[in-house]
Amino acid sequence: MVASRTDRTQAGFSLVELMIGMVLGLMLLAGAVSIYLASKRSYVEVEQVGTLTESARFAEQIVGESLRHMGFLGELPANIIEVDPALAATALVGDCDAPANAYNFTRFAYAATVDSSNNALGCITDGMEGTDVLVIKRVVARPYTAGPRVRDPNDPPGATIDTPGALQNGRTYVMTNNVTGLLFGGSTPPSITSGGQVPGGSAWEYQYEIFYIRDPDPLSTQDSPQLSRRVLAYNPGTLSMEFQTEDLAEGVENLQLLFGYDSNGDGEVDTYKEPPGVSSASWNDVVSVEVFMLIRSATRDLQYVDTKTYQMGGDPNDPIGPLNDNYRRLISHASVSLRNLKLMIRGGV
Amino acid sequence: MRVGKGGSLQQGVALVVALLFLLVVTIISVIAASNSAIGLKMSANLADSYASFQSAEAGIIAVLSLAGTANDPFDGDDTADPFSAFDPNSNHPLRGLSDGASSVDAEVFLTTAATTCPTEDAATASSAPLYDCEFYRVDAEHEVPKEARTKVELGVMKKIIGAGVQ
Repeated sequence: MVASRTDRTQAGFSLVELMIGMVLGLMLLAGAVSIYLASKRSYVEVEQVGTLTESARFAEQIVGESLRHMGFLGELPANIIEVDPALAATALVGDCDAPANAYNFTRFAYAATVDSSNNALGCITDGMEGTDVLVIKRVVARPYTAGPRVRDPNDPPGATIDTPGALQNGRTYVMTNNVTGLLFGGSTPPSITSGGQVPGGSAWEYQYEIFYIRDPDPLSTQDSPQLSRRVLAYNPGTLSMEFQTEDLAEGVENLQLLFGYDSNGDGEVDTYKEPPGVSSASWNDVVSVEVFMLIRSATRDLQYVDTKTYQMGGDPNDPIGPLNDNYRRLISHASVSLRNLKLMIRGGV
Repeated sequence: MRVGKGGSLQQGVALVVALLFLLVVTIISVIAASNSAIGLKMSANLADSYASFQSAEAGIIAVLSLAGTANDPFDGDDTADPFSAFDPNSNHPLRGLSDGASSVDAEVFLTTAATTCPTEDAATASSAPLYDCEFYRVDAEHEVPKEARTKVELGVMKKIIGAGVQ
């Protein structure tokens, strides 16, 4: 029966054959597994570094865009623009202390550092200790005008803002012409006819931003810090402006700023200083800002230990780290030239 | 028949296992490669947008540099093309741009005709102010189709001898 089932006898393997076969098989298997593990590890690394780069690029782009518009308030510099007393009296829940408060043009930019109880500027209560906070007050670069923007300068100005749309109640705008400027609420626009408050003026939507590092839960070390922005935004429900917090980039755990000063008006930066050293008069000399951000990966990689030190523009002898944890980190450094402020210095405004 | 079936099963296992490993490794490397390709594209886009911003800015500065020359665009009127007198190949102020001088479109608008200056002149002048002021807006737009587009505007105030001065 057995012989009839197969044509030859079933001999199987000898012990030597089996062992050689197993050793060869195991060697092959070990090689394949190690290749698989190595490629998986490099994939994790590439993915994490890619995500870090992307976050850094995005954060840099958003902050840089706002910084580049610093000092842009329509057609006039900030020190000429007045605030409508009715608007200044409007209570804003959660407004910051002067000069960082929303309806105040003493400073169109301001910076501070988060203290040990996670507070800054009297309005930020969930900041990461020791990180910098950047306040920028500017207008959105899209003017609202009466009639087409390009018109014969000898024609009398129109009376009502209608291009590209009407002003909305509840929103805040800056109205400027060549001489005067006013920050006002959309429900009470200044007169723009000849002899009015701002003759021939155009309106620009006001934008107030505070960039800071938000620590969602200060007591926990597990959660991921964010680069956040506290903005003054329109709430269609209450028909008024209110403060909102937007998370921009995940994993940004440190933000440090250095301000570049041109104290002799020659168009070149003389010194870089940290924000707390900024006295009130020297704000007028600021022509550039260096932004340092430290970004960490969202998840730990147990194969990796962060033994690097990070130099974020502070004391060269006192860098950050080594942190010796399992997060990958990327330091991002951008230097933003503030063209509007440079022009103001060179133009003698 | 049965013999043939059993024999071919035994011989195929190594091939199937090897193919499986190869598949896994291929998938991982293809994903990694496409990730870095996306990263590369994003960097290129960012580089383009920065270069575009710098070019538009150069357009503004080039228009400003024409002030006081024979081709002064701040002449009390709109100027649709401040660079019309220049040859893009020899003496155009923007001929050094990597995308060529024609990639930047500059324009000057007169926003307010000669009027009393806003600052100290009006306050200190006893009779007719010495100077009047004209206000201009300079637009510069840099565009390379499918790559990047930036528009920069600059307000300019020009002091001129006042109309009341004899």
